[in-house]
Amino acid sequence: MKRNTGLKSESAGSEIIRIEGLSKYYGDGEALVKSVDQVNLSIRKGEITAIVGKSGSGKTTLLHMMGGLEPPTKGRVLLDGSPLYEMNDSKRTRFRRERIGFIFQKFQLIPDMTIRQNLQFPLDVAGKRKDKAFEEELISMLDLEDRLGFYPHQLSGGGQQRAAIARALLLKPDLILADEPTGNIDEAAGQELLKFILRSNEKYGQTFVIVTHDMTAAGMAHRIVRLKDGKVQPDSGEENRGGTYED
Amino acid sequence: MKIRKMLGYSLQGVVKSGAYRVFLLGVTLCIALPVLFITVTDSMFYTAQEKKKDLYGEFTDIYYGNETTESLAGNAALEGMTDGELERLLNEKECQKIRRLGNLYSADLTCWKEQSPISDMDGLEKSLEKIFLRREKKEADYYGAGGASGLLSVGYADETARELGRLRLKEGTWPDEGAVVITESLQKEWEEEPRPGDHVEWRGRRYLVSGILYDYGMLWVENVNQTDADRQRPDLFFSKRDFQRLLQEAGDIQISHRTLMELRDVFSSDIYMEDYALVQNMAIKSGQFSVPPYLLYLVYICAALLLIQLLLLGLPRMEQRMRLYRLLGVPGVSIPFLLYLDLFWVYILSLPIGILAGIGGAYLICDLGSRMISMPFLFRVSVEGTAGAATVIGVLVLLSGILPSVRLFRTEILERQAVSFRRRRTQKRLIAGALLGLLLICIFFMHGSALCYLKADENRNLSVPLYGKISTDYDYEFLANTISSDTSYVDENGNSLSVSTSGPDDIYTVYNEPYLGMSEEDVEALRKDEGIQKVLAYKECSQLYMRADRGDPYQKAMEDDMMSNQIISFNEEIERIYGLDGSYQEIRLQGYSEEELLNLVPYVEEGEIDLEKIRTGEEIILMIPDIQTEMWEYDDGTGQKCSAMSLSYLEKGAYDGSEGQYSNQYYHVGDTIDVFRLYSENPELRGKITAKIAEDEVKRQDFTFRIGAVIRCRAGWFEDTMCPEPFFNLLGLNDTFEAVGLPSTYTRVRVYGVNGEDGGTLKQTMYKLSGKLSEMHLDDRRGFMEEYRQYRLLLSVLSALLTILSAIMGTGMITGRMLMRVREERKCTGLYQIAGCTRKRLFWSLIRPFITLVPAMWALSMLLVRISSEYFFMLDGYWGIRQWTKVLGGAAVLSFIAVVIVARAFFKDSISSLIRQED
Repeated sequence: MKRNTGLKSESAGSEIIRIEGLSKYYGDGEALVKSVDQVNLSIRKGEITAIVGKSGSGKTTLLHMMGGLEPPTKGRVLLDGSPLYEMNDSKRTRFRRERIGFIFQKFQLIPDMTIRQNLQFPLDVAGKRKDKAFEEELISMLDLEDRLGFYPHQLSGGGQQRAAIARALLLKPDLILADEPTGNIDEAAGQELLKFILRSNEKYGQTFVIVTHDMTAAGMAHRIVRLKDGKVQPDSGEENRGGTYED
Repeated sequence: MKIRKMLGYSLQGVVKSGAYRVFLLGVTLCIALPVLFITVTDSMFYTAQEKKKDLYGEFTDIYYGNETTESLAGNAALEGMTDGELERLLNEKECQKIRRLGNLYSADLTCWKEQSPISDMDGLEKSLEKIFLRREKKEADYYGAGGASGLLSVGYADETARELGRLRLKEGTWPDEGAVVITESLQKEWEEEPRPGDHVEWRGRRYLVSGILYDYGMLWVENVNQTDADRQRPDLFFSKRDFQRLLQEAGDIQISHRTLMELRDVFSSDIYMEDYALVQNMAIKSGQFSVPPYLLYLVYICAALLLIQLLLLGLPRMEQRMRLYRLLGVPGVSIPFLLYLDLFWVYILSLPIGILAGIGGAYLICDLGSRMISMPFLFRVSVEGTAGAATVIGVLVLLSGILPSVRLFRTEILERQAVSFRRRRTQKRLIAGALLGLLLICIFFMHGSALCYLKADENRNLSVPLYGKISTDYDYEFLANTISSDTSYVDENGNSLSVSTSGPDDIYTVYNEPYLGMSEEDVEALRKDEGIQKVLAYKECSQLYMRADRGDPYQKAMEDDMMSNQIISFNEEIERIYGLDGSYQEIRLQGYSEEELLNLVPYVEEGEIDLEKIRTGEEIILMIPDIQTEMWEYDDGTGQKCSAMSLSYLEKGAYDGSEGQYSNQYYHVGDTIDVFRLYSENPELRGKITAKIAEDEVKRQDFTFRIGAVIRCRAGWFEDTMCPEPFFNLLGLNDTFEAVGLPSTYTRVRVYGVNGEDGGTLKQTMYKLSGKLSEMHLDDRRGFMEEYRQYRLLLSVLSALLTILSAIMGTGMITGRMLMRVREERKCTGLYQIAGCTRKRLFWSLIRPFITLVPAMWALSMLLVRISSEYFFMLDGYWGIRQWTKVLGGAAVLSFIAVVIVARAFFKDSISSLIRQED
């Protein structure tokens, strides 16, 4: 895999998210499963970070905890210095919807809404007016112009994933968390998607945290974090120097 | 989010989401069910109410006034009561309570015969005189010649009277001058059956028949102050001018004037006391029957359970949807609100469809009912009832959303990892199973309690064979006044006097039963009457005496404990005249029909009922009911304790010798009983008599009866004999009386009118006969029975409706739940099959909980109904096994159908297709 040259690494700013001693355990006694164990991590603004690791290493759980979707068993998540899990549900939800965008492996589009409504829904929830120029640009970039009136099940996997990305970006969040964004789409669509993430990162300076198995996707990240048995590997978290990740 | 936007998203979700579509269908059904129930009930009650008005008229009050032709001569004739007359009857305040009033005049033209006698029917084909003469002949055949009245009645009614009296034309129009309307029964009396357009003649004048009047309609109310003329319903209605002319030609005859009133408010009770001719139409004022409200409550309970079931069915998909909302930034606190928005739309969308479906279904049922039982149901939609049902279901939808909203509020954004998945799934299934069980109990209970209600209602209003009770669904009953014998008195010279006190020399009371009742000829004549379906006549001799036997522990106990007033001692003079000595036991011989005697077979404890031997008097059935006595104390109000004893009859086999129980084991099959009676051959001899009369006119007659069967519980008893009967009863056939030489008339005659016929003519026949049978009391139950039969029909249709609805609902729910399980476990099924399980075995494990749940809930409901029937319906020991077996059979068939539907879904997919199912 080609080495990523860093791109925006020079312009990387202050820390956007800090994780301190984050752990998530399931079950108890002998059946205790340490999905994420004592993870400390810091992600800077404008950075693209890839979290890689074997299946069951806790990547997705870590991502969900970073996004305020899964309360940790121990530890803290600080978003711009604000501790996410010390807020009440309403405040955390508000914080989340304004600052964080999510891209899921299974797209999570609302099946009974058209693509246009799926894009509009988070704006309505947040009570924000849409930036028409931005929306048009986004839709054009994602090649969704002709698909807005379709229902999710009428689109291909790639189409649904593009719609999910548009939905995540439309609120202009500072942080975008993507869980296996290329996992359910074909290779060509995956490549397109990654290009778009890079473009978006360049153009709007958004921070991306991507959980992936796909080394092509990981290869374009500024940093790669490796997880094993819920723990961050000692050699990870460094700037991507173009090495390959062998699962 | 703005409410408008939320409403929009919610509406879209409800319309597009599969989970909500099922719920939408369920809520529609929940609205449709009570609306259908209410509309059918309301339509039937409306029909029954209209029928009731046909039976009793629509007026609330009636005033009977009499006038003469002379007083009607003026211009104001046939215009009803003048203001002055009305004010004399009612004060100004009471007058204002009248909403409208109508006038009906009628005259009995029987006197015409005396004025212009005709006896030859030739040349009278289209003449009313022919009918007149025919009726006169029939009257004479019944009651002997002379004294006939009410042979032909004519009348005039203004428009309001026609409405209030429910005088309705079967065809044609009300008469103008020169025309006449005749009643349906009068029309049938003619061979020619005149129709509108034909002519009839009366005293040489021709009248055009303008219409035929239905026989129903009522122009009088039954009360103690009415006269025979009041009851008379005109056979012909003329125009006002013709009626006036007819009266003038008839001369000075009495005219009945009935003022029919409809009141806004009730008159004060004093008004009725001031003038007895003013009578309330109590049948119309009082609502006798109503649908038990609990049936409707049960419908609502089932609807609520159905809603909860449906919400639970749809909950996983709702959770999925709400998780998406949460992922997209909707705060947890807004989730219940969003759910309620969805429910709001579900309700709003279901409402019109549910109401339309309910009303449409009700219309179909009414239409189908009308066709099947040939009774036209008047379809009516109750706006209040429908609005009420819609509101109740709205509230139920609101309430049913509480649990899911709490659950959804607590739902985490991301689905939990699979650690506790199995336990949660089991819990969910248990809850769903429990709810389904509850729904099944409700459905079975609804059906079972409807059966109990019908049973209890039947017990209350009609006697059914309980302890060998004789059915009482008759219309009229003639009953001999056997106990009011001291109203007539025969003096030494044989003069019959009506007095109610006894003289100092009186030694005995003669009942003379052989002459109290109806003769064989009268009964046979009744049986031939067209309006009568059947006549049940019973002979009875209640004044037989048997020597009290102190060797019988039962009789001894009765006498010593003073529990029986049937053990008596005669006056010394009587003892001397008839050679009597000591105590005697009163005993009664009752005659039944063969069918009724055979109905007593289950109550026979010893021997058997041999109809031939009973008919010839060779054998008789002895009935001595086992008795349970109970002593109790009460305070008489002055602080003194008094003791009292209650006495009840035991069911067959219930006697176990406990304290307070008595059973006669002294008399057995093959034993003989010697009895005698004191009677006179003089039919006029009744009441108190002196020793001389006794010697001259009263005879002793002895009989010996051989016991062929023994019944030791109360059997063959009539509903109106509620007080304890003589402890010794001899049951036989009516023929037995003649066979043993015991002449007797029928002391109880029950008349069953032809179903569905108006019965106006029958009523007149009954009342006329009642006038001739002064010794018999006439009980008129025709109106009650008409009303009751309608009510029974209505209740039967409603309970059948409930059964069908509940069966559909139950089958639907069971099928739904099983299909849900099939769907939930698709992948599991595939995986188990790969592991080597057969599909059949997996199917069996899937359906087993359901097919065991149905009989279990059936048994539990039966138990619940059994317990509640005792407390709520006073049905002691009623199980209704036969009906419950039918219910179980029905449930088995429906479960089989559900299993077949589920099997189709279960066996449809290949293993490959099953395991590729997404989690």
